[in-house]
Amino acid sequence: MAVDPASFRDPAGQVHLAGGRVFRTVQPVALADYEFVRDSKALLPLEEEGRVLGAEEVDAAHLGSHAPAGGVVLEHRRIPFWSYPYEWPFGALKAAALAHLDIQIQLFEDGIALSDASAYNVQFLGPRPIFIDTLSFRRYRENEHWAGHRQFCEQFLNPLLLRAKFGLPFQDWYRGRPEGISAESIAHLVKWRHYLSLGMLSHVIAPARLQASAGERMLGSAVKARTRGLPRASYRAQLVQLRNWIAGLAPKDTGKTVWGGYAGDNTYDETEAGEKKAMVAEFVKSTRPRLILDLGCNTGDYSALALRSGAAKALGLDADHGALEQAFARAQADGLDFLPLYQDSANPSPGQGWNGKERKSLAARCDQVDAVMALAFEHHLAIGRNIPLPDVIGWITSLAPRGLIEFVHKNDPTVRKMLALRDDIFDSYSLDEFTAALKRRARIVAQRTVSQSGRELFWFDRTA
Amino acid sequence: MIRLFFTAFAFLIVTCGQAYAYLDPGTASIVLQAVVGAIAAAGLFFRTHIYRFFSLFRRTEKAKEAAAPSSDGRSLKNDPGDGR
Repeated sequence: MAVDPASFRDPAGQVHLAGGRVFRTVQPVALADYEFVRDSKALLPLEEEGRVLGAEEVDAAHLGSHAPAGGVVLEHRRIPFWSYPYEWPFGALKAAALAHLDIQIQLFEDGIALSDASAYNVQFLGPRPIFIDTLSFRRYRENEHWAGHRQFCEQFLNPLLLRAKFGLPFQDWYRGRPEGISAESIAHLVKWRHYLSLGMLSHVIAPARLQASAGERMLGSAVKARTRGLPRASYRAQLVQLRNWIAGLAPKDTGKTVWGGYAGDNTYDETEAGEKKAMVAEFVKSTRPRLILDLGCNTGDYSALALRSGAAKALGLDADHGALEQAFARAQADGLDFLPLYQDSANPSPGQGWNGKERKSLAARCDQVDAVMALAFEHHLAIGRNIPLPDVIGWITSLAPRGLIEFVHKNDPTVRKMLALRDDIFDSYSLDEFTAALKRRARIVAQRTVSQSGRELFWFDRTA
Repeated sequence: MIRLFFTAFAFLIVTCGQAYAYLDPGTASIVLQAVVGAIAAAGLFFRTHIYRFFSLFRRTEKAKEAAAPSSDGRSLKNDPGDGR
């Protein structure tokens, strides 16, 4: 029995993990709100549509001594892979923001408000966002302010604006500050023309200016404003206005023409690609992964193939924002159970937040991954980032008990390009070193040459 | 009207002095919600009413089309609301 290390901020309840099951306590302090929401039945249609994670009341004995006296214990189904907003492509953060606002707008009619606006309360099933925090829902108090406004701006709006208005990917910045990107930070980038945008004025420029300009006097005004209250119509209108604004945001300077090159941009001819695809399909048909991890997923061609061949779910990682956007849009358009995430494999997401445990490392979240594909991938780490080849193989094989790894020779056109402007310091980089390193950790189930340049595809079962 | 809002709002922001350094993060949000919410509500109100105003005319056109079907015998089914 363990309390989820991310579940400590809200006294309303905690998440407990026990034997692969997920429980949530509702403490007595939150009971009235919980029962109001439950009895309104307003969440049921959202749960049926897969927009809110269902919660079933269960016997408190499941939690033993952790059961709350006078409270309730709920059980959730498990999310296959836990992702964080600093890993989401633009399209995913936008989908999560819209989902959050739509839920709020819909529930507002039922007299329900959200107590916060944390992006960490949204997870993804494939490309579909799902709201997971049952205890964020509570009764709307007449004339209250939107308590989560600032948090919504920092965790959803400002990162989106960074990319949409200023062309900067938000992920690295967001990872450096998991609580989000502040209005004051964004305000440094603002140009005069942004003063003509009501949204920029309302949610970025004005908050940043007030933040910088006021002290005790402003605190007094805020206390007065809070007592005076906010009309119901104004509360709702803010949500609708933000929703309409965010719906129209798109990454700056990344038209379809820029991304159009991805589909045909590889060093394979069609026959060769056919052999590689055949082996991927064979591997998936034989091993039936529940969750396959696609390292260097690009626009998701091989994830889509794995899903067609019988994998239940696919998770993609890549560091190319344009490719990720396309991959996410494809998953949405084709209804694929595929989630592409931003990740620099030479610097995977660490454990961070409070005590270094609030947000888990990538490796700690891969427990449900049962297969891995590293296609045209290892040379980007071994040659591109100078990581010793045995270490690269060690890392890849640590992520899943079985999988496919492609070895790319030094005389391959891609590697030749990588070495065109630098000395070849990779004397030991060879098929022999690769095979020996793989054999130390795994049994080689099959090995096939899949390109004329001698790329080798290995199917492995981890042993060590 | 909207321009007037913009000008007044921008003036309000630009004329704020930079006297103190620290403010509780939630304070600006609470103070601004009255203004931002009111502008958003007014915007929604006008949009809805302008839409209703124009849709009065569209309904008239639709009624005419219904009375006199087009040459292929179908009347137009486009609802003025889903012009996306």
